[in-house]
Amino acid sequence: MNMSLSEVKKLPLHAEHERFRANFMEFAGWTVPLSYSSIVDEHDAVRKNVGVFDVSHMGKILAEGDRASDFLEWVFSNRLSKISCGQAIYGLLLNPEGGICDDVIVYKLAPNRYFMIVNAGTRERDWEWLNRNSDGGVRLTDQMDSLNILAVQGPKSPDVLSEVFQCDFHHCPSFSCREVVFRNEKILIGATGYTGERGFELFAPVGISTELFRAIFERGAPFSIRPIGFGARDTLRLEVKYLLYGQDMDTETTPLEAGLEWTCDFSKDFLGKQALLKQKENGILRKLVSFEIPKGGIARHGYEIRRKGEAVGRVTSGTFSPSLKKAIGLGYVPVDLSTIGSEFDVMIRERAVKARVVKAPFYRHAV
Amino acid sequence: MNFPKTLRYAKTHEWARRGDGVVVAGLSEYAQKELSDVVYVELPAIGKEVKQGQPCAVVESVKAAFDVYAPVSGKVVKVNKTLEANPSLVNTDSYGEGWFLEIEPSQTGEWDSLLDAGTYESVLQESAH
Repeated sequence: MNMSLSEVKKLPLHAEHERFRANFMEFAGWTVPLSYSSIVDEHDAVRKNVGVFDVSHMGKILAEGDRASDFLEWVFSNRLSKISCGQAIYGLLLNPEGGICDDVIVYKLAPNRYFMIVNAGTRERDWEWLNRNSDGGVRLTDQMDSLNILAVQGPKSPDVLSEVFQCDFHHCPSFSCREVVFRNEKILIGATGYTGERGFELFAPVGISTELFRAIFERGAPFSIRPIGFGARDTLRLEVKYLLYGQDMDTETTPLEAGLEWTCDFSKDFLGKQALLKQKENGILRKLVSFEIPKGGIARHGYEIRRKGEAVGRVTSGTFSPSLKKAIGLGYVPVDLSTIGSEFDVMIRERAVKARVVKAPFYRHAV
Repeated sequence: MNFPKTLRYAKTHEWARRGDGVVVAGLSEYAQKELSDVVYVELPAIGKEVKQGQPCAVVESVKAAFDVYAPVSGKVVKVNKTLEANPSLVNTDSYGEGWFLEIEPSQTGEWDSLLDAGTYESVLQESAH
């Protein structure tokens, strides 16, 4: 189906992004900022100081009720009982075949009250899937239009939030979450993100989001805060090998192939577990690897991977790493090509260009 | 934006300058700004025959790869090797050190089909609306 322009939605803070002279792009049915200045400058700003992303396009689902914990424990691959109230956990929604329906972060707000962030492109499918698999005792609420998400990321993000909310954010452990009050409204803040830096995601009622956005920039000015677009979001996440749903994984790939077995807790029961156990037993045929291209171009999503002239896989993500100043990428290859140091060719404009499997993440922050 | 009057332009955002029996080509400031962060440049082999309006080089930004089109037909006689080591010259000096290639033109009439600075600018303005 062709999506006409009128169906592409604008973020609630679109006008704020225009004020910052953003260049826009389309992403999962939304008009989002691509960049405000240069992708490399924005990337460096997040690695060095602090930046703000508007990721309100993502899905937000509240799950509550007597059986909310039991329900989520069944549809979510990771063990929810590992976390306490005020903590968050990353994991997957799998189908019975073990294919990845989505990757999500679940925030535990209260004993039977959870907040889940899902991908924009899979939001409707997840919603339908969750409802189909729930059997009462759990109430699901779609908070898509009532909440805004701002990600404040970078080493100076605790300084900025401490100023904005007048309380300390320097000692928030990664994957913790808490509520603060701003303009008489509650905001959930998770110490989570998609950049590999220290950072926070702020889930705020849409009604105060403009005020919040402006307060962050006002209070963040001494820390050289700046708005960051989706261009830098992609380079930042790829450098630390955070996968992108729909590109690096989808319903045709399993956590074992995508290197996400660590998000599956086999000591509990969960949807898709039996299929994964079977795949474990039989062994996987392909694996997602991290590679770099020493010279000859930049691999991009969809480029073919070849071994001795034979097509054996595809690049799922590829870019030029601003931090490492070289071409990096992810792609699925046969298992025997997945060990570190293995070499294969990536077809760049009909030329075979040598790529080498390297250890992930490509970039590690010097803490 | 700066579009030197001494140059001619293609609608695909290349500039061309007539030299001693050759045409030098590069990317306009508009193209450079749109690309942002040029990180890789692929140049043709010396001696390659190129056709007006057909791809003759590749430029990659962080985000994507784009073709550079030949402003005139002819033989490639020189390429800017410096760009391979320092592709950001396309951003910092698009009309100078950021040049791409020199073509020995084979069709004299083609030069006149290129746009002068004023016409190019009005084409840009039209496409912005």
